[in-house]
Amino acid sequence: MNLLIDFTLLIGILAIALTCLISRSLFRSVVFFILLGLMLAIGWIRLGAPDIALAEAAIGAGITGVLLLDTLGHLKKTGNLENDEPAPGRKRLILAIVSSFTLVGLLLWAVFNQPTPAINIHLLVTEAMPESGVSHPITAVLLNFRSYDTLLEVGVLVLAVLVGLALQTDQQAQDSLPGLPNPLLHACLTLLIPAMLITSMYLLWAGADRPGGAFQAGAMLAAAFILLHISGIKLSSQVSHRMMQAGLLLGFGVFLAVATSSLIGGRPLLTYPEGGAGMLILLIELALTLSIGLILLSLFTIANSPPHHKDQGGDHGH
Amino acid sequence: MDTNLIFTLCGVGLCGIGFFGFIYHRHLLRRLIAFNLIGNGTFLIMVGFAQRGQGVTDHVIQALVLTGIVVAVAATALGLVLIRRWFQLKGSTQLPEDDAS
Amino acid sequence: MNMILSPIPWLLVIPLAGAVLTMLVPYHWRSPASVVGIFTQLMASVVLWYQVTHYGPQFYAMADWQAPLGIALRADGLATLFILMSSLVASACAFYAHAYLSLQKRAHFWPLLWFLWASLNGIWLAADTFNLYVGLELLTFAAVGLVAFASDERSLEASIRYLYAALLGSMAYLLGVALLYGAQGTLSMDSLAETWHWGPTNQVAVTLILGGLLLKTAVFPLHTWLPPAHGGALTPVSALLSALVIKASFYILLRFWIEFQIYQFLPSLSQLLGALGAGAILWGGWMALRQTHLKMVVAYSTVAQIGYMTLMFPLLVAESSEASLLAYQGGILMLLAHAFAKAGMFLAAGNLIFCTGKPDLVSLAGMSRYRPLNIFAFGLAGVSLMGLPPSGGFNAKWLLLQSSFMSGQWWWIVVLLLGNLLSAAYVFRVFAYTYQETDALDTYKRPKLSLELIALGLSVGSILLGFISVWPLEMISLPGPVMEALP
Repeated sequence: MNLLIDFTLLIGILAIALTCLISRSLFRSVVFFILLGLMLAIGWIRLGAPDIALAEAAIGAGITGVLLLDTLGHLKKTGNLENDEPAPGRKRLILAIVSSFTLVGLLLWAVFNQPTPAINIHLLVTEAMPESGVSHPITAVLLNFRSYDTLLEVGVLVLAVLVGLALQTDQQAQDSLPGLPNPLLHACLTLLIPAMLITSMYLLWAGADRPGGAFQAGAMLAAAFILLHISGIKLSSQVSHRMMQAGLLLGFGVFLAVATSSLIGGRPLLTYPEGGAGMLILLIELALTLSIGLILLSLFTIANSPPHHKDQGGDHGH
Repeated sequence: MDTNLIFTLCGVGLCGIGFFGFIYHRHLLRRLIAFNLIGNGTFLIMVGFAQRGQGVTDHVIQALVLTGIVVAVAATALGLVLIRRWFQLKGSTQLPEDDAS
Repeated sequence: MNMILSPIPWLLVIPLAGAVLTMLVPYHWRSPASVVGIFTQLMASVVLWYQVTHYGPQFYAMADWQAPLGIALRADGLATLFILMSSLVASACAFYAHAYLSLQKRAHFWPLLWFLWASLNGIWLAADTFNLYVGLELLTFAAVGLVAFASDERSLEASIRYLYAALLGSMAYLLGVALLYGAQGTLSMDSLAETWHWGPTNQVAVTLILGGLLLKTAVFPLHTWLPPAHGGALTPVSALLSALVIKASFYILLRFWIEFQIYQFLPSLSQLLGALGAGAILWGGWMALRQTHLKMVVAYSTVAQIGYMTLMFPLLVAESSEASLLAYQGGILMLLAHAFAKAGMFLAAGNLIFCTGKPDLVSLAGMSRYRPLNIFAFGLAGVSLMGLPPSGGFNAKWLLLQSSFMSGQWWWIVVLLLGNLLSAAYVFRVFAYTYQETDALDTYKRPKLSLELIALGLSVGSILLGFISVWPLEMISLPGPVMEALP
């Protein structure tokens, strides 16, 4: 029975991926891409990875999907959506087919000749768990055993926003996205937003011993922010520019500060003091959740803001 | 055939499809979607292949995939920021073809 | 040794903190804060150099978790040399940028530079395959951001091209890492080397990692994204990209190649890499000869120079340990000399373009009379790139030549000599334009003296390297994982 589900998912995922790529309509491609994310989330559950399932649904399908859809809306507004693109040439098609089949062939060869791994890290993880300060192994890996990776990864997120900001002009760029004056939407929001905030906090709290954690919680928070943003309640106009920047950097800053504080005690970077690991991890996660929410929101709004001074007129011309 | 192998194969398929799209298409948005397909395929291979070898649920690789997903969304967002600027400047959804390289 | 005295964490913490700080403080505070950061970075690099030469390679367990479970950092001779190189070149480029960019641009430049620097140091020190992936992504984002922030049409196009190539490259790398992990159950480079197992899975993994890193290093024929990105960026950014950023993926490739002894088991792959290098030398040199824009000449010269570094791979042969050692030393020296020479050349080219106000070669006429200091800087860098004595480039090519003789691979000698002719041709072609006499008086703009001196300093560095080559060569021959794995 389970195998049947697996095979259905396998075929479904590949079929959706193919449709997503060859569909003539770009809008349909994006919708299929989001659908693919949801199918993958089920797949992750089957693989015994509920954490990834949550992240895939919230970040992979959710946030990426919203970003893509928003870009489509923008293209439509500027009349670039159904720009009939010339079909790529035959040479390109042959090159693409040959390289893709080579890749698949190589990978299949590699997969079916898998040796038995000589090292089993999961045994080491089980052994070290009591010292990690949390009882959920994935949180322990992310914020203790391999916290250095996570630190750099948050750096990548900050950097993405930074590049976006560097491409913007310095005058407070006003948003090209009008609020939707829909009373029904506002009524729904008053119910939805508190629920989303509670879910976000729950996810954060759960991360200590169950699937969940800062990234999923942050994505949920971002979803709430983006909903508010679309409905016309702009967070960026409520708080000052500098406050916003501080919020973006809070998570990274707190993480880095905690990491460095261990150096003063003469211990390696990122070491938690004995007995304090649990509290510090929660502190870092709390700051990360807020920052990730704001970062994902900023990535959404940066993409939305009007272009450079040069052609500011063009965008509002119609 | 166990679940891990099936999803590893699913990942291989996704990588293949995504790689095809990345090379074939010239539309920047379509190529970004194709990149995300390769990414998703890679993540499936990471977990499925590792767990197939270890025979148990592997939390280390799952944590790495979480990192990977976040990096991928950051990459997508950065790509979209650049692409939109390009649309605004040139009104085109693809890069000019290389003449000489 | 006491952990608090180790400079290794500070090499990461300072740039990361610098990035946070320069994003938060007001615009006019960002440069002074960065200058403080630059000096502490230089200091930390020197301390690390002292410790490594006196106490041997340093290991560092992040978060106090030992390697297969946690992430280890390694500072052997090779890593330390690269830390010193990137600190010197990045500082020079940073000071240049400070004088070159407007306050506006500078404000955005600093945090990007600090992220770039952090990722470079992270990559030099990394000993974990997945950590290298995150480091590569951090590097890519910072570099793409630096290319894009010139914010004109050309740089935007270049940055999109760059981003797409780099993302594909990182994904191929990650796929290879996934296969290695599935086959061996570990991410740490040391334990991978210990349990290495030449099955089909590892061969495919190596192929994918190789492909991804070659794309990111812009090795011919995967180089097409490089010239527009390096030629179209702002001058200090071009210098950083050519001198340091492409070296990061090359460095990872080199470590994989030697530490996992790929050269021993896949000799045909070595020859293929050599052929790609030869292609890069000839094609890059030929294209540099045909460019009409000064910075594009320099950018295509980078494509050719990457080829010389790639020639190191076929010369690492298991049969002859002496030839292998010479090739390893020659390749690293090549890389080092190129870092200084190319940074100097890009900065000198940027100065010349600033003088004439036009990017093309034709408008350079009269420059050798009116701006001799710049032409001198450009020429010195050219000497090293052409491999004329005395220069770091000459010593490097000499080592590669000797290694080719010794391992009996005479065909690479032909490539080396032909490549030299091409480099001489494209450097002298630029000179020919600057020596053309014009009737025009000296109405050109004059760059700040500091800009000219920084360019000159870097070029002189590449020449000086010819006199003190022994020193970096001793450094990389210190015992460490790479030296152990060489034949």
